[in-house]
Amino acid sequence: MAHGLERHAEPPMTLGKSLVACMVCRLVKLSEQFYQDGCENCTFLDMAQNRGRCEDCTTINFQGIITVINPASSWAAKWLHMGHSTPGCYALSVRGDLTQEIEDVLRENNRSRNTSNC
Amino acid sequence: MSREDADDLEEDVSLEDGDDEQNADRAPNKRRNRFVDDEGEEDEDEDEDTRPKNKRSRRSAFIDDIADVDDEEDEEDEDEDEVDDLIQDETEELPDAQDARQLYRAGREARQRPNEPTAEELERYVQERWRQPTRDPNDPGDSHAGLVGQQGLLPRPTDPRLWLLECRPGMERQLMVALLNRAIKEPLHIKSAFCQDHLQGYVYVEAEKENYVREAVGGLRAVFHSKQFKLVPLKEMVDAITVSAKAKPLLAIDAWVHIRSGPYKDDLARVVDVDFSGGKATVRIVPRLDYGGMALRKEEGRRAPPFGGSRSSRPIAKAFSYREAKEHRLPVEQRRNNFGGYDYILNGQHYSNGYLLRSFALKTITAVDGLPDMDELQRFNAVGQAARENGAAQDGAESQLAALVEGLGDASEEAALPPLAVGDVVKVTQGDLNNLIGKVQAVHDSGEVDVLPDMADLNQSVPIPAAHLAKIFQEGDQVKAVAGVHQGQTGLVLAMDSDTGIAVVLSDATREELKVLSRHLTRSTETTSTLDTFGEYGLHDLVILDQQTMGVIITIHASSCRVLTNQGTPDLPEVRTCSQADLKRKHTRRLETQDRRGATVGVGDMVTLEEGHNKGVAATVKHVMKASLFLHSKDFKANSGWLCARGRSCTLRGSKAAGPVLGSMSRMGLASPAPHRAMAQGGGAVMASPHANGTASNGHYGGQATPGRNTPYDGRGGGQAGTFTGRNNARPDQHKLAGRTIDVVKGPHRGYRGRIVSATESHVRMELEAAYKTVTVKIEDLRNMQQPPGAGRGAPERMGPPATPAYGSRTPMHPGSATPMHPSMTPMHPSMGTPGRDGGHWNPRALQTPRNEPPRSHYDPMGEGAYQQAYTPAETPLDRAGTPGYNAGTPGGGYAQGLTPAQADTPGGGYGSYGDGRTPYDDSGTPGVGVGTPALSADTPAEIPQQPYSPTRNSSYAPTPGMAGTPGYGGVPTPGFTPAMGMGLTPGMAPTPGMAPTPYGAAPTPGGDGSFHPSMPSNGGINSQPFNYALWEGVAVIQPDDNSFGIVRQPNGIGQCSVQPASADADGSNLQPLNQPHLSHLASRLTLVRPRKGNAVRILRSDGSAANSDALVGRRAILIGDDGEDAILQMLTAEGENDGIDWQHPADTHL
Repeated sequence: MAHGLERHAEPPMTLGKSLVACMVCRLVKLSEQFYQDGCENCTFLDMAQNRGRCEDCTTINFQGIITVINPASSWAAKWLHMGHSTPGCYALSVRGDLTQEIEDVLRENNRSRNTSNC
Repeated sequence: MSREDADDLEEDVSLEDGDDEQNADRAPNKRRNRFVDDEGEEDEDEDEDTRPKNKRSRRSAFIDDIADVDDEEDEEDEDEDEVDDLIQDETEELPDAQDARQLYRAGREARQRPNEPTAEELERYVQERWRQPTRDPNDPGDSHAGLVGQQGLLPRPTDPRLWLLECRPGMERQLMVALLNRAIKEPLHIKSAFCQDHLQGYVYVEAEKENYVREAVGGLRAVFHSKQFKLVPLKEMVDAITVSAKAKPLLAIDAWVHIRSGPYKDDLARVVDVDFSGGKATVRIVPRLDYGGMALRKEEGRRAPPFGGSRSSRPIAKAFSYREAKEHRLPVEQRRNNFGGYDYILNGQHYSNGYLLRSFALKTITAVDGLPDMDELQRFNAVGQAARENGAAQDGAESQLAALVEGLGDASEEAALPPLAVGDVVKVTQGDLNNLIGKVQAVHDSGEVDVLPDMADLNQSVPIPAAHLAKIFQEGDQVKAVAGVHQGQTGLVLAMDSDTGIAVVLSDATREELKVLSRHLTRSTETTSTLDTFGEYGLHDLVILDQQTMGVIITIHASSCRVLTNQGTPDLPEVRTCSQADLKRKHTRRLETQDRRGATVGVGDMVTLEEGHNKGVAATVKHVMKASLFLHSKDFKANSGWLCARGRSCTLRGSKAAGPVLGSMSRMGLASPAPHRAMAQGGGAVMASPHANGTASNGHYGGQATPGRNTPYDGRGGGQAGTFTGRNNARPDQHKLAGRTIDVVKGPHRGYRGRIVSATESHVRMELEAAYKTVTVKIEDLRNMQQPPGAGRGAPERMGPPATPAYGSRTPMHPGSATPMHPSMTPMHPSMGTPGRDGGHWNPRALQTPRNEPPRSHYDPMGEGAYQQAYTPAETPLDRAGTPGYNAGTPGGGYAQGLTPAQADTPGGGYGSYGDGRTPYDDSGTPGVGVGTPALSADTPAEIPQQPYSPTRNSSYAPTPGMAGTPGYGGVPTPGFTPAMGMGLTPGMAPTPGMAPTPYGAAPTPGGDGSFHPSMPSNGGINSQPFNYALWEGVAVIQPDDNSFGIVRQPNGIGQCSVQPASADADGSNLQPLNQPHLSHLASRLTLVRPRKGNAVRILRSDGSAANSDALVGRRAILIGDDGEDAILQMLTAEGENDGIDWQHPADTHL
């Protein structure tokens, strides 16, 4: 592999107030990035270009950041149940409640939140 | 290969493909589905062809294995497989043989497949397959997720390790992003890197080798490369990655938070709204406003600190006050809120219910773990309570309850909750059997509960997880709260809302309706298990909250108590919730106050409320504090039957007080410096209430209402014909202090002299003569106030006036007024008195008993008829108002006195004293009636010349002569009695004996005689108390009929004197006998002239206080000094000229 990661989530462009985490997979990006590209792990949430969905699914209330580079072999990723997540920046823990609508979407997609380490 | 694996894979695939149409029955066909997905054969009929697909799936497993072999991490992989095997379940294992067969089939099928996967597909598939083992079993969708699963993920030696790197503080997150960026551009061998918010200046990097870490972070300036990278021990890896628990509490609406910085630092606030994406939370907080500072700021511009005042001083947190803001002319905008009240906007800040609604950045607030401090909570809630009182919002209690429920972490609370017990009635809240009601049959350790449904056809108990059950109660159940705010209380269930799980419980202890979560309740047979101690305080103790506030503890909870304070009104009681710290101390002194009629109300009395909703309700006084009464009655519905009312809004029960209410009393012109007391006494007198009299005036016939009377100096003292009190207890004494001028002999004001303006039991307020100010002085610090009543002597320099009574001992009034002032008199006459009186009766102590009933004792001898006559003396002073001696001049006083005897009308209480009073008489063998005769016969000597008295001196006894001389008075025998009786019986009357001679002559009533049995004098000082008239020869006297002076010429020893008229100055000096016919007078009607300094005197009687005093009776001396009570005499004897003797009563010595 000559050049780094093939698949990866966009790294946060800056660090600041608008740094938010996806409440489902804990991916951390700027809220604007979520709006632009959606969440790389949770495409079914259709956050891209959907401001309301972005707000519903992301939260500023997260703690710690982990950069997962090799999720498959990382103990930390395993511990955090991110073994299959796209490499990227994630929150160590996320707090916040999902709206009923998002819960429904999750159920439809047979997914659930990653609540480890919370 | 596991179902989980399949599931994971499928998910991954669907992630990539956005393909989710086969959700319908994926569960049973996961493996196949996965395969189908992989192959892109979604359309294939799943049911038809399961077998080949299974084979294929095995093939994929095969490929998987191959991939693993190829991977450098195969060892680890195996490990993880093992783990998976351990964790994962029964559905997993395939026997080896079967495995091999399937492998074979898989291979064959692979060959048969029409669309052989391309290299890319395979690679991708392999890649995904390779990832599978690392998929943890707790992933989304795994129903078996839990602690056990996470345990399986604990780091093992084969896992990559963590290195702890030091970095520039604040750069941690940037480092994370930088690493990610770098990883995107070039391959990095590190697995991950993370930073913790609470761990500034450090990051963790996960890698196989430290070298990889160095490679990865090489060139990153944020990392301190010089510092060693520390390898995190295996055991600490989990700790390293775990987010600190402190940061965990979630900010939710209604959560409690602390503000981290700024003027509200460490203040408690409550979240109203959270905007996570905006990073802000709106909270309710008690504002810290400096209105003055804010007003100032407006004028001076914006440089002043935004919250007013200087930065250094932090405004106090208190409820927003519109009024205060207005006072400072701050621009406050009012808005109606939903609760019918107003919200205010000041400087762009929103104030509601007294709270400030303000948004804080999430970073500046920290959630409170669990419930905030009781104190904090209380301070916070107090604001809302205050607002609630204004009617702003009535939901306080409920929202508080809700808040408490909210605030309690469920997890922590559950632990404390009582387990379900067999027999509990429960309702299923979740699951298939939702809403089923049943009875607990058994509780298993596993957490399952056997519930017997409450249905006719269902006889079999159903196992249900305890978490799915809620206790329900029925109306009438006796319950006990075992958790929550009402913990420890018992009560009766009044209502139960099984939807919300809230039961309304009527508390046994407080009789209030409590809303309690049913899960906090348990059935209980206890009827009252309420806490009755709160630290050092007990239920119903009177406690001090602050200087103005005190109250009664009406309920005690685990960590707080409710206190009914004196700040409310009977209709709007104020009940505060207090923690231990709020209670300053217990109040144990028993005080008294007055009811609306001026009657004294003390602890234990029954009163009737006269105002408010509870008008007419009778209650018991439990505590008295200042003017407040803490009442208890079962008729008070609220606050456990407690109520706080002003004394003035109650009337004492059982009091016959029918007179005017207190307010009007004060209009009676009783110029008392201590209005209350005077009123009480005066009131007692006027109302002739035995109660009032007994407690307040203590034996004063009512004449005592005016303090001035007690100070004969003022010249007011004379008028008190009606005051026949035998003895006075301490309180009237103090009362009488008022108006006196007295020296301070101890304490900080030692050496000052002042006029007493008011007095209490222990202190007086006095106006200092030397300094224009009023000070409070302990009563012990006053001259001669140290001695307990009855033991000491009166204030010497003031003795003049008191002496008067002695002179006028004949005058009935004197004993009354003098006695209280000079309790010491009593001891003077231990041996005095009617023969009948034995010493014991004169013992001041013994006498104290009857003292409260003086009226009775006075009348006693008179018999029933005397009662009517008792009025007469009352009139006397009035009649005599014109008499020179009667300077008292205060008609009010006279009136009061006049009425006093009326008290006698209510003999009920007084009879007890009769017994005492009578005893001496009986003993004496000279019943009042019998005595009459001698008294009459004594009349003869009355002609003995009377010597003029100085008017001043006379003032006190003015009535006496009046009685004798006043024409209208002649027929009224009664007055005579009264004094006589009083004296005879009451210790205070000690002087009476002296008086005895005076009026009795005229008095046909035998009563008077008791004291001056004619025989006594003749017996010659056997008892020194009465005068031995035989010694009176040459003594200057005042004749009773015309107040002219005279000199006794022929005392006959049995009460009759021949008096030679004499002329003298008004004050009794320059006495010159006149050459006029001698008059015969009853000796008892004569008034002795007070000797002046330098006069030759004869000692007429002794009080026995000095050792040899009795022996001195009859001897002559020169009066050297006279301090008002005691005289210093130079004896004209052979023993020497310097034989000075200090007599307690100058009245006892006469020329």
